[in-house]
Amino acid sequence: MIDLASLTINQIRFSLLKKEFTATDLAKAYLARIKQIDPKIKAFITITETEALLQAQAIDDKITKGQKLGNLAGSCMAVKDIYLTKDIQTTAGSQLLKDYIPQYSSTIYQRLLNQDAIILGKTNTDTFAFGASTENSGFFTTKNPWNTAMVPGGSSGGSAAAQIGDLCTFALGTDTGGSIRQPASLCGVTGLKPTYGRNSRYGITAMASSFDAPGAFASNCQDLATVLSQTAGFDPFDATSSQIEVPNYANLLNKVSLKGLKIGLPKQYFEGVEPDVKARTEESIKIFEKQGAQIIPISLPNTNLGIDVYYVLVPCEISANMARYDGLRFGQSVKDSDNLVDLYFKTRGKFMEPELKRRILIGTYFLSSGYYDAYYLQASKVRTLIKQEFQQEFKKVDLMLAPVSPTTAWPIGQKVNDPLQMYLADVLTVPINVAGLPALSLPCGLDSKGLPVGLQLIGNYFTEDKLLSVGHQFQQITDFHLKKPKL
Amino acid sequence: MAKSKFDTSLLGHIADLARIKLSPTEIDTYSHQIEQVVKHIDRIANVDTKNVDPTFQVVDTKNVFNQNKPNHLPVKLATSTARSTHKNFIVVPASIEK
Repeated sequence: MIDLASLTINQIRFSLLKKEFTATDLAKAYLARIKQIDPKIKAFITITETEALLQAQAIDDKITKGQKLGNLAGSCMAVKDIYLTKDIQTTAGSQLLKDYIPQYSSTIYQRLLNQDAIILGKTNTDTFAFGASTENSGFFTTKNPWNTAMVPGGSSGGSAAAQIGDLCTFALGTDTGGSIRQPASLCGVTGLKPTYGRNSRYGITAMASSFDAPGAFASNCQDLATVLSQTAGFDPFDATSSQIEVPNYANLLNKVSLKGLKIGLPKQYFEGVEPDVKARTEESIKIFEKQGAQIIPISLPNTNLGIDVYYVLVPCEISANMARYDGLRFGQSVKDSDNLVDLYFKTRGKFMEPELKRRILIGTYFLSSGYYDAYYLQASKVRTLIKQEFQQEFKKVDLMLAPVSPTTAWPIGQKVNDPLQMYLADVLTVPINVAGLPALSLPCGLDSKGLPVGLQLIGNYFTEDKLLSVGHQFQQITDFHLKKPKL
Repeated sequence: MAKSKFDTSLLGHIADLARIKLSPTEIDTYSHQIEQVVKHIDRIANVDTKNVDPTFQVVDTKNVFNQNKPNHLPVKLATSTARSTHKNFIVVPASIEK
């Protein structure tokens, strides 16, 4: 029997080559666990058993024929349902796209398939990734595997829950305002939001095009490094993807020495957080200090404005991006319309979920005549100030450390009817997206209720190698990332 | 700064611009919820942004040019998800009154 809980990407490839198990054995083991566990946590919208077994068989055939294996051979991935997957339903967590079968695949997913990764299914998300708990999904709410009465975080909550539940080797998410780091923190897994432009956005349903950052969840930094080495890099289909060279992140995990490392603590990120979250974060700071890191207090006074900038600019970009959902070219549409405009009104009114409508309405308002300068333009200028503030402080430190979320997971239903409170849950993650910086979410212990706490390491642009190296060394001397819920 | 009370009549106008049909209940609920959000965000007006340039892209980007060669899905495949098609075209309800 394969012990799914202890598998890493490198071990899987090694075991396949040593013929300890086959890719088909592994895919079947994951699918069996999904069948056993997923009804309790509801991480998946679609389970792709047929595709998984076909892909696994193709890998086994390669081994039999002595052909070269991809770098992720046999690793089984859970894919957030906003990544387009050719011939596999992609709903974006919305009834609007129910039964939509894409004709092409997102670049990141395709690059991972090219390295012989296997898809197990598509995971639940807040509709079009708009949310912090998966409660805005048009299908169902995913439950936190540590306590099924609690939210898993969001929007990539299905992927985070699948990861901690050992329902996959690694999982894909996206982080527009914290949607990888926050569910990683609330579920106790490792997650990376790369620099804006490090990973291609092509083939992922657009939320806010100047913020969206695709990334991954894994059990540890080493696996994240392996995945990022394959997904990152320029994509001719995404003009904003970076042309900066992609290192082999997995070979650089010991690059940075913790001794002498300058870690900045932005004081604003420690204000108003739950005592347990603060305590676990401070205990981790002591671990870094013990290893010789230099802890430097810093100040980012515009932190609180991050949420304001975010909730102006992101709905504006959403309102523009969502205009494409007209019910004509793809997705659901009403049958009883009087004319073209009537079809738009009725289709969008009937199939869009409440949070989708709210954000389009907010964005349309901010962009409408008479309000553009006061909101969109002003927020774009404050965005500059936030970016400059980070750059100023990065002259003093190598990276920054802060809690990911002010709280641990909260009860399902608690914030769902109060959008402002739900938005404020992102207060410690959105400033990083406003600036476009990379940040790594690491588990750092449990609170008094037995729920995971996460810390984030924030780096300067394109320093994913440094973040993963520091995170890896932290995980070599701690076991927070190895803790699992009883399921 | 242009401020306005986010009431039900303003929401109705915004919904028209966004081409979303809302029920009377939705209009009541969303106008209240959105007013709360806008009130919170209004403090952004107090930030001094004199002589500050706006940021539209966070990392320096440059123009990317592709070779001028068609690279697209075959028409039949591209239209395969449409609700209704006719000879490689997408059929839409009437947009001009008779």
